Amino acid sequence: MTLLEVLLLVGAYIVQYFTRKKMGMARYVVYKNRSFEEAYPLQILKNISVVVLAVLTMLLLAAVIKKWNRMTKHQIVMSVVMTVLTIVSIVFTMKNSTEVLRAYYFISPMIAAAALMQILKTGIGIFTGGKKHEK
Amino acid sequence: MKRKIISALLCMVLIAGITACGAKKNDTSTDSKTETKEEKSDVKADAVDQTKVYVSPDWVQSVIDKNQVESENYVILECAWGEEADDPAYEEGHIKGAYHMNTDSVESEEFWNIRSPEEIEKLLGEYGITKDTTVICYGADGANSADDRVAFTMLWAGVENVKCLDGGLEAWTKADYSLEKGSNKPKATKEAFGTTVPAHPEYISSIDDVKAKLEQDTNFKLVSIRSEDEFLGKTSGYGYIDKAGEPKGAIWGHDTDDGSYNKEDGTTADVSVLEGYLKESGASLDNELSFYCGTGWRATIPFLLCYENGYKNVTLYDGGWYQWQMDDSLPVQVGDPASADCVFTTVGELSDDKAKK
Repeated sequence: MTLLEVLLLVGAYIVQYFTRKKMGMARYVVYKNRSFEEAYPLQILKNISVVVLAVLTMLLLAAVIKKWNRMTKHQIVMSVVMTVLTIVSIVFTMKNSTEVLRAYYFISPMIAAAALMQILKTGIGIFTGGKKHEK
Repeated sequence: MKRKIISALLCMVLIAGITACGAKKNDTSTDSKTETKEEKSDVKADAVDQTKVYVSPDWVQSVIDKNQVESENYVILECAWGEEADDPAYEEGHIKGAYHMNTDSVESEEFWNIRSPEEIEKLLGEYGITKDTTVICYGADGANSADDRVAFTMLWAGVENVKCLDGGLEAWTKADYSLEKGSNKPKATKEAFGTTVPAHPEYISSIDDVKAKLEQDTNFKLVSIRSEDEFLGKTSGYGYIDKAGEPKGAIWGHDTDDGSYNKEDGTTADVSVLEGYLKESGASLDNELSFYCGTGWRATIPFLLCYENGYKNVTLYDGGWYQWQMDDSLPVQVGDPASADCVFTTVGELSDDKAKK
């Protein structure tokens, strides 16, 4: 994973942590939640993001299976990380809400962004990466 | 390769941590209670009137020591924002028998106004509180208004005997009374609350009440319990409120957070202090007064002062500046209304860059 992905996940954790610990942060998050709900069709965006992540991941996994004999260890690991991140992102997005986690509208996109970055990296890695070294 | 596996594991742990942070923690009150001082206490203090709100540490200890009428049926609430597990103050030590009260339990997210009567009645039942229970609230110190906010809610709901520990936990520890650690879980009551909630709806003025009175009633004074910078429109005072100003016609009643309503020892000032602040704006305790602040915490302090001194012509405008500035059409003032520089306009014309940084 890249530093940016890690930062996104760390950022998501930090937002959630301070939303629990600081009243000002919690109220700010509630205020922003209201703004987001008024400005964007969040349910639609949520569904689109879940579908996009799932479809891209499945397409890449299909490519991985097809090219299995030529996959390097590095590509396999990236694929595993991609799959894990996608599953975590989808489950998190579908199972939570602002009622469960006040900072949901902040955390969910951050995790999804990290998953998307991993998908893109994995895709680039699979289609442009080196061949498996044969002994 | 190893680094990638480790970073993947780290991310999974972080994500698990985020999810765990959001899930309600199942509190297990298995912590053993330890008192910071082993002592047998038998404090006797003078009885106080039912309508007296601000009480001394001696009086509260005398209740615990079963030397007051209130000792038969009382609940002590440590009032602060946040869940008990996230409240270091409660964890570090609380008054014996105190339950933690998260102020979010009495306020709803829409405007941070007091929750619906049904929600409050349910909450009271969960805490074992009926109208006959003496509720003793306390916060960190005398200027902290979390306990006042909860106390006001109790009175509004119909609890007949509500107290605030004057000077908060700071006064308690100065008085050298003991604290205990560990978690106390409230015991719900099956008894009915005993009266319709709210028993005193007249304690709260809605935004519509305030709008109408400002336009029609010259005896009505809307009193801002905010800092001078908030009153003058230099800042909203809050990181989540972008606009600054005051409802048109508001007068300044000084802030509570800066100790303007406290004596030097941190206890609550006399009602004459409020009288002095009102006089600055040509108002008095004879006017019909409605106190407000940002979201209804600070304003409960002058309300409670008036309440315990028998004044019936006072209310809390619960919505505060927060709710007022949500309606672009509402009239506002920016600046000192007594000066020629004061600008009178509407919320919609205010700039959006006044949130507290």
